[in-house]
Amino acid sequence: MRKCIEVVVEGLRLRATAHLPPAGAPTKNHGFKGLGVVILSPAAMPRSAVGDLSAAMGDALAENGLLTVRLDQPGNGDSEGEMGEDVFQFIEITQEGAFAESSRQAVEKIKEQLGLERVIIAGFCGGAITAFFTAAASRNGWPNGMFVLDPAFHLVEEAGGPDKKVNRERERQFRRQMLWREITLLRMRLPDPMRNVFRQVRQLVRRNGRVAHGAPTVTPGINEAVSPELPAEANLPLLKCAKQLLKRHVPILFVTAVDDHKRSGEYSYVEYLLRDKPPRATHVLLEGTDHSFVAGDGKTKVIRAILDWAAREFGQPVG
Amino acid sequence: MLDLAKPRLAVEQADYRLFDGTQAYYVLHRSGKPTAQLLLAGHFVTERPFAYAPLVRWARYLADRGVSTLRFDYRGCGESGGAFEKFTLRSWLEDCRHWAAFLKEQCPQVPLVLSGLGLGGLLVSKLFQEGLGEAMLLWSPAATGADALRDTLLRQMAFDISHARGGKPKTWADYKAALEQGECIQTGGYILTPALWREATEMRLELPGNGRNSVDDRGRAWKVIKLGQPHVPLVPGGGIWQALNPGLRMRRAPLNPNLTPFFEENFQWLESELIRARVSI
Repeated sequence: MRKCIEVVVEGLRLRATAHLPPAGAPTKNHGFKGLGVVILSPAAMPRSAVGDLSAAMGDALAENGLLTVRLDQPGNGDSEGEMGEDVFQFIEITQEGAFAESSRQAVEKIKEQLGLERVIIAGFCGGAITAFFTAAASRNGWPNGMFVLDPAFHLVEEAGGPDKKVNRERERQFRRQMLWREITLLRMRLPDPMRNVFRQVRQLVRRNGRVAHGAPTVTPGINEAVSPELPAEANLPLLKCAKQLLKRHVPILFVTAVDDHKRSGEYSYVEYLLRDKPPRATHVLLEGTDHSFVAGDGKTKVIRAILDWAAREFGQPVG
Repeated sequence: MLDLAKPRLAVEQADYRLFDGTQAYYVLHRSGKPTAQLLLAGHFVTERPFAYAPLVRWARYLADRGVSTLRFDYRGCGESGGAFEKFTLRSWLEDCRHWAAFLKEQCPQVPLVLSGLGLGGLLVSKLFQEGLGEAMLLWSPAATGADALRDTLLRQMAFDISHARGGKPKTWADYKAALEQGECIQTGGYILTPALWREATEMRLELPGNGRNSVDDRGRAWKVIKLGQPHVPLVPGGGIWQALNPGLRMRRAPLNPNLTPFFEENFQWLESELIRARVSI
């Protein structure tokens, strides 16, 4: 059963949907007792997400005894709050962790309202980014687990800051991005060797652009955990949060899709994070879908992966 | 740009109502002293996430000006319960009827305006034709139900092209033929059924009189507004496939554009028509 709930954070009403396990769901004498999941809404999307993926996840988890809440972040969906006009502004503030504090406070209130003892924090795309920042900012012993769907660990260079007005340079950058997108769509029709040529050209153009604008190709020294081999556009604070959580042995499930970007050899941040084989990290790579996880049979596969992981990590009887 | 981040005077109530055994989701933007009540029927589900933010702000805009507004999710879609594939256009038409009645119950003496966007426009036009509502405002209503489903299939085709490995990706004709032959198509997280497709091809937009914005033979005002570039992301078809279609290409990708002038224009029409209707009553 679904139930509407709301919490007030920083003077804003944030709206959420709770998926309550049905009577007789396997919670009693089970590891899911007192455990709940909070799924943060993807950036600039209502809490059900594209293809109602999050709504389907909530139903499936509740059916299996895991109380699940899907939260609209400020300005998103039915929640109150500002939302910038420009998609890039929104991406930039998300990748800087702008929603972490409100999400942290919201999770505390949801825990109290629903009587949760332990919490799994989850998110998809921008929601996954916020999930890491939120989890790292938590001061009360949660999260007890995380599942993240295709978090973007790289900074979107075209995104402007919240105070930056759209200017001609931004317009030019956007047009360039649109052009790349269309070239990418054409590129998809080509055989792999030809696609590699496009990838190399793109990398060259990006590198030259950075040098021309005086940007460093590697941002060094933000913390000891970050490797100098990381691409220049790596979101270092975000990677630091993920590293910290892995170091704390928080069970984390990474789900990523094998899409054309990855096939064409772009850097794998998840592989980088899991290189030292953190004991409670799991990486599931899904074939036959894309970043949305609703193309092909992605929806079914991603839900199966989460259910299997939750059962494995938390499904043991308590005490 | 007006601050529509939260209501100033109205109260927002998000909840569920059980409809034919399914949890149906709604948000009522309740005005203190409503002069009108507006039912807002949204896009087909695949367009829903893109248009969500502007529609929430339109509802807030109206409610703060005395027009209580009800948004809802069709059963099987968004926050509403039920399996998508169990519902068809007829079910969603019944949803519109259900919510129109629910809204009318809130303040029976206050006029009801039927309003819709894309598929929602097509659906509420059917109710208006039956005599429901005192006025109708449509934003780019779908000409047929099949038009509303078309974008979903085009997105699937874009995915097929990008994931074709040796085989020839399916064409529009392949998908259409499959649905007509009784096959289900899994796309964008939903299962399109032959029943949905059949009803979608049969349902067509019929506007009162000669189709020009005016009043119908019962004296009720109605208006259709064609959305364009300034109204993206309310425009159907926003998303990846626009890049494939030069005719619909976005110059920018606004997330939450300043639609205040557009809202004002629509509100003025509503206000003037409802005043006129009251005078004639």
